[in-house]
Amino acid sequence: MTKYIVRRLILALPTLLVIMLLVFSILRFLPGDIVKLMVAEQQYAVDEAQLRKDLGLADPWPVQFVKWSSKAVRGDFGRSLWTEQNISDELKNRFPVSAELGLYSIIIGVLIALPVGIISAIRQDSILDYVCRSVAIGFLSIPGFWLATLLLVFPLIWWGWSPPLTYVKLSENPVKHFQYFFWPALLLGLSLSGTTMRLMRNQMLEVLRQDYIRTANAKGLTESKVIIRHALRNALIPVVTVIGLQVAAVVSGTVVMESIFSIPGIGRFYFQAILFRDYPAVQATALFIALTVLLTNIIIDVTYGVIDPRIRLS
Amino acid sequence: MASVTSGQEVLSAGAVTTRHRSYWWDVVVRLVRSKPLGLIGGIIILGMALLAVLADVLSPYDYQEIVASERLKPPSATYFLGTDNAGRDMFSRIIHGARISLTVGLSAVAISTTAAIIIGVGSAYFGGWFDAITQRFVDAIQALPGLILVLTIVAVLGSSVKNVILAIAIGGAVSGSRIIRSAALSIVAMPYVEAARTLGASNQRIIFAHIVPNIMAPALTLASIGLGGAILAESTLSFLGLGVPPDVPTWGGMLAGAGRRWMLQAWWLAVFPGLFLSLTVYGFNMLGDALRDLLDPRLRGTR
Repeated sequence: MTKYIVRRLILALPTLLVIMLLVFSILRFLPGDIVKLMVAEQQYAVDEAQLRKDLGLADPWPVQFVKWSSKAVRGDFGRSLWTEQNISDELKNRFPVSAELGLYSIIIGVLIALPVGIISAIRQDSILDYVCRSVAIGFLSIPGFWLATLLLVFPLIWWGWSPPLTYVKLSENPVKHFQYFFWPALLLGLSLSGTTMRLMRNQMLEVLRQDYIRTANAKGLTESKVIIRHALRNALIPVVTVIGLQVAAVVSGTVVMESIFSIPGIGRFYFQAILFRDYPAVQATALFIALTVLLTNIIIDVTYGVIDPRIRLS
Repeated sequence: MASVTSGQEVLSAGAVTTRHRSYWWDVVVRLVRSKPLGLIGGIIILGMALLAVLADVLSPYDYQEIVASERLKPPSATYFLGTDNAGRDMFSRIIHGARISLTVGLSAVAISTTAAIIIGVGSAYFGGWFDAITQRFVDAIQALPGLILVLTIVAVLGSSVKNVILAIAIGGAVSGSRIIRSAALSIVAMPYVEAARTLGASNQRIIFAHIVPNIMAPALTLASIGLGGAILAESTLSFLGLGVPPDVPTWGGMLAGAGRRWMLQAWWLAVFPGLFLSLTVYGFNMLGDALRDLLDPRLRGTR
């Protein structure tokens, strides 16, 4: 087990190196002079030469890469040009907020997906199944930002109500905290549930064809017992992986939801850093996000092995 | 689909071509007979495509004509979908928006599918260090979530229709190449590839005559599923204000920016662009789903 985890972490190293190279090159190898634009549009320094020096662009690039990466590994990303805060502090303060939003969305997504996926599978090719499947594809197709727009417009027109837009910490006021996160997490959860729902249905159909299900039916168990005790338990395992794969989708979703509901998380920070051409912050955040995705995938793979004893972790 | 058949015409003898043609025709027939949801998707797409192609003919007004006296008019017989805060006809703007969405979606997917085939087949066929290095790059880019990647590329290259297409295509090519690679790996291991090699066929011949035609089914499935995602990506970018330039009418752009402030007085501004957008993506997703089941059962459950 430990051996497997260590091996996975070592295998992730070359990938991490390539990620660092890619992120590093954002500022350096692209067409046009970004420094010129940063000075012209945002006045980050008095002149280009100064900003070039501040960004560490004066050295030959292999030297730059070693300097930048050795600092980045220690978590030192310097200051944000735009907020003038220490970037690592920004990320540290904002990560829990995005993690909360992501976690709640995944939970809501699963809570919607599992029952619908199961019903769809049990009543395969019935009208109900068709409705459930169309709804699943619908959730995948309707953009979250449109639903959010509708949510902000119509309740206000009809009842003068709008969702709360100030972030409240869980420790401060749990009720207000959940009220605040409910809508963005629901909207994000809906789009996530589409994928999970379809996988749940396929898995369930596969399991229901197995011999042990026939045996369970033959010995006279009730349908609900067969479904819950025998089928669901086995069908759930691969669904765990897809929830893991959704981490990337969640990050994309948080950018949009955090911008609309003004949530002080990583996604909004990244988007604003891009708008303000705050490239040191863009690089740091991109690296941070990639690392988070990489690590979550490793954790999910390990968990997968733990819940399914048939999979040997080697 | 036209490009698929023409590609095969070049590669295979006349008799074989006819068989391939009937294969794709058979797919269409099976779609109509056994996949009602896919058929509905196809009809929606056909409708949107017609609106996009005939936008100039069908739009009752000039989509950028500003008429101050006709501001924020609700939907009526004169203005089917109302007018916006500048007095521009929403219906005309929305069908011109279909044009941008479909152009960006189709071009991005055409580029990304082609690139995915090149990367995926190359990686699978040549293997060794080439495969190892390519796959590390694929791993690295896949660690960046789709929207983050696209936002970054557009932010660095600048906002233009061309760059939006390119950014979406890069993201799609990378994840698509994984699926093409695994499909190609199983074909590289086939006895007929070995036989071709024994007979002295060149790499070029093996790749273009034996491998590429056999991964056309997963590639086409990938493309049809990718289209919905590409259109969503474009509209999200436009919504965030980083997509195509603001003077181009896009569905995402109509839901954001200046229009947002007026939505409380004019609900139609909030409803119709999103409705067309969702419907189009829905159509592509349903068709893609049906095609996947028909063409390549192995891909079921992906995405």
